[in-house]
Amino acid sequence: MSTDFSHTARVTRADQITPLIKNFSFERVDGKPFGPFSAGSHAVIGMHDGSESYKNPYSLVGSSNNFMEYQIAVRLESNGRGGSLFMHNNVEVGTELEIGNPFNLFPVYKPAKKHLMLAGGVGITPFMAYIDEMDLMKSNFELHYSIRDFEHGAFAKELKKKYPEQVKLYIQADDVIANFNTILNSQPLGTHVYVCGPHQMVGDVLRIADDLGWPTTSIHSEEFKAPDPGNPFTVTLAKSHCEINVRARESLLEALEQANVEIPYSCRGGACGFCKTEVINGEIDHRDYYLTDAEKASGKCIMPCISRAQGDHLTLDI
Amino acid sequence: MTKLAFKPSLETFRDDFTYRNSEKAVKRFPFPYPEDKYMYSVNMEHHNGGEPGSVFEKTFDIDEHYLSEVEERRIVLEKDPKRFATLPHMDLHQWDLLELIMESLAKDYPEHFSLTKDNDNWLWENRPLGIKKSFVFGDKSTLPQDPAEYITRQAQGDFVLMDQRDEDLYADAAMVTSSADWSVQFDLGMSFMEWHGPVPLAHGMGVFERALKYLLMIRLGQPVRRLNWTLTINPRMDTAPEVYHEWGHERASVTPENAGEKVHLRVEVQTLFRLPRSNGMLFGVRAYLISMEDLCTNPAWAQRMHRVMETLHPELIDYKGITRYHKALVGWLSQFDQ
Repeated sequence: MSTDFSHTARVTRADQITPLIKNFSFERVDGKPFGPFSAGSHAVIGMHDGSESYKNPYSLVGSSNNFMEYQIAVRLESNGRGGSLFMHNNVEVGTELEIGNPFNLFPVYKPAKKHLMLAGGVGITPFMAYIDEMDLMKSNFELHYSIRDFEHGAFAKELKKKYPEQVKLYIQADDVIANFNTILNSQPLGTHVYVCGPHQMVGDVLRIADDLGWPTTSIHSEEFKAPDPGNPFTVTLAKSHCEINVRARESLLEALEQANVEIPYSCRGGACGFCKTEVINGEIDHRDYYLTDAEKASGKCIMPCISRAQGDHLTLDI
Repeated sequence: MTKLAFKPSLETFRDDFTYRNSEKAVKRFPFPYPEDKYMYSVNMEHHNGGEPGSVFEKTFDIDEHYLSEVEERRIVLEKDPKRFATLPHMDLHQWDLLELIMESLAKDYPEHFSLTKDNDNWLWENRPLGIKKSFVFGDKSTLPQDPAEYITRQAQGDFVLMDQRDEDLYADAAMVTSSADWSVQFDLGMSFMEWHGPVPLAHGMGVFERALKYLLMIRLGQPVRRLNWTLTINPRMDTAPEVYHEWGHERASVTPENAGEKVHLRVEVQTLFRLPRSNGMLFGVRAYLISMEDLCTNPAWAQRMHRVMETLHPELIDYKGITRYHKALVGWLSQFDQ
C-alpha cells in the first residue's frame, strides 16, 4: 500500500484557544475540497523544520460536512520531541504543511443505543466531530468533560451553551471531579463508552468499567502516544544491505524514512498496524498496542513507529 | 474512445432470455483465469482505473446492458421488495453510497449523468432513465426511497454496505437482486466470517483471516477489486435462493449438444471502498454473463476454459453447483483444446 496520499495544505487560521492549545484550520493549496471524513478520524500532519521533519497524527476537529477546511487542535507538549513546539511557534496563517488522508481508529459504534463520551483536557478533540455527527443523526449522547478551569478547557463554553443537557463539565479548579464509578454505574443497556484523555484517566476508566462488569467491546479508548525516546541503536536492513543509526530522540520509523526507506504508516503511535515490519534478529522493546502477546513473544515483528531495540542492534527483513 | 451505446430495446434475464453480448461486449469481457488450473487466492488489486474501454476503467462500469439490468432490478424488487434490506444504524453508510455512485457516474459518464451541489441541495440527472431529481443530502424525506435503494435502482450490480466495528465487517445493508445463490435476508447482519461460512476449502487455507485483516486497513481513496466467478444456466441474473424453484431445475437441461448455448460464465468484478462519513465499507458486486459459445470465439479463452473445468477441484464443482452438467460441459469444451 502506498504512503503517498498527502495533500499540500495552507493554514487559514491559527488561534490560541487556551494557554496550551492552538486551533489550526487548513485548506488545500490546489483549491479543491478535502472531502468528508468520519467522526473520530485522525490525519497525519507532516512538518519540515530545517533538517528535522515531524509527522504527527491529530484528530480532525469540527464538522465532517465542511469539506473545504480541515481543523485540528494541538496541545503544546514542552517536553515532547518537537512537533507540537513547531506547530505552536513556527506555524502561522499561510504556512504550508503536508496532510494525509484521514484514517479512523476511534470510530463511533453505530448500533449503540446511547453514546457516552468521557473527555479529559485535549482529549476533547475527537469528540467535537462525534457530537456533530450525533446531533445530525439525532443520536442519544452525553459528554462528561474534565478540565483544569474554563481558561484551559478548549471548546468547553461553546459546548455547554449548545448542549446544556448533554454536556457535563468537571472543573478541577472548583474541586468538581468526575466520578467515573457513578457515571458508569447508571447507564442504560446498550450504552457504548468512549474515553479520550490523559493516560491515567483512560486507565482509570478501563479499570472501573472492568470492575463494574462492562463488556470490553462496549468500551472504546484512544490515546495518541508519541514515541518515547530511548537508547540509540543500529539497524541492519537484510534485503537492501545497509545499516542505519537510530538516534535517542527519533523513532525507528523516522530513522528509516530519513534513509529513504518507505514503510506504510498511519497512526505513528503503535495502534493501527500499518508499519508492521519483520525482524530477523535482535531483541525488541515492544511498546505498541497492536501486536498480540504471542506475536510480541515470538520476536519476529516490530512496530517501528514506536518500538525500539532492547539492546543496541536489530536486523530487519527489508 | 468509442461512445457508450445502450441496446436499442430492453433485454430479458428471465423467461425468453433475450440477453446477448455484442461483439464489443465479448471483447471486453473480464476473463477471470490467470492459469490453466483454478484455486482460491486473495487476488486483490488496486481499483484505480484500467485500460481504456476495459470494464476496470471506470469506478462503476456502465455498459450496453444498463437499461435492461435496471429494468431487471425493478422486476425483482416488485416481486420481492426485501431484496433491499437495511439495519437501522446504516443511514450514514447509505448516504455515503449515494454520494459515491452519483459522483462517480457524473464524472465518468458526463454525457449521461450529472450532479449539481449547492451545499446540501443536490440536483441529480440521469438522462438514460429520464430522471431529474432535486433533494436535500442527509434528508431522507426528500427521496422516494431510502438513499441506497434510490441510487442502486439506477445502477448495475449488487451493493453490500458493511459496518466496521469490533475489528470486523458486518453486512448490515444491501441491494441484492442478482446474487449467485446467496440470500440478503439470510446474511443480513452477519460478520465477515459468518457470511463466508459456506465457502469450502478456503477457511482451512486461512484466506478469510488474511482477507479480513487486509480489508480493515483499506483507506479512503484507495479502493481495491478482485474477480470471482461461477457458472449460470441461461443468462439469468437473479439466481437467489429465494427463487431457487425458478432456476435450480435448469441445471438438468444441459446436454452435450446445447452446453455452448445454455452454460454461461458469470464473472463478478468485486470492489471494496472505504466510505468517508460512516467509516464503513462498500462491497460492490458487478456481474458479467457470457455464453460458452461467445466466450469460445476467443481461442485462448476457449482452451483455458476447458482446462480449468477439467481440473476443477471436486468440492468446488459441488459448491458452484456444476456437478450435474460438469461432464457435458467439459465434453463440449474439449473441441477447442485438441
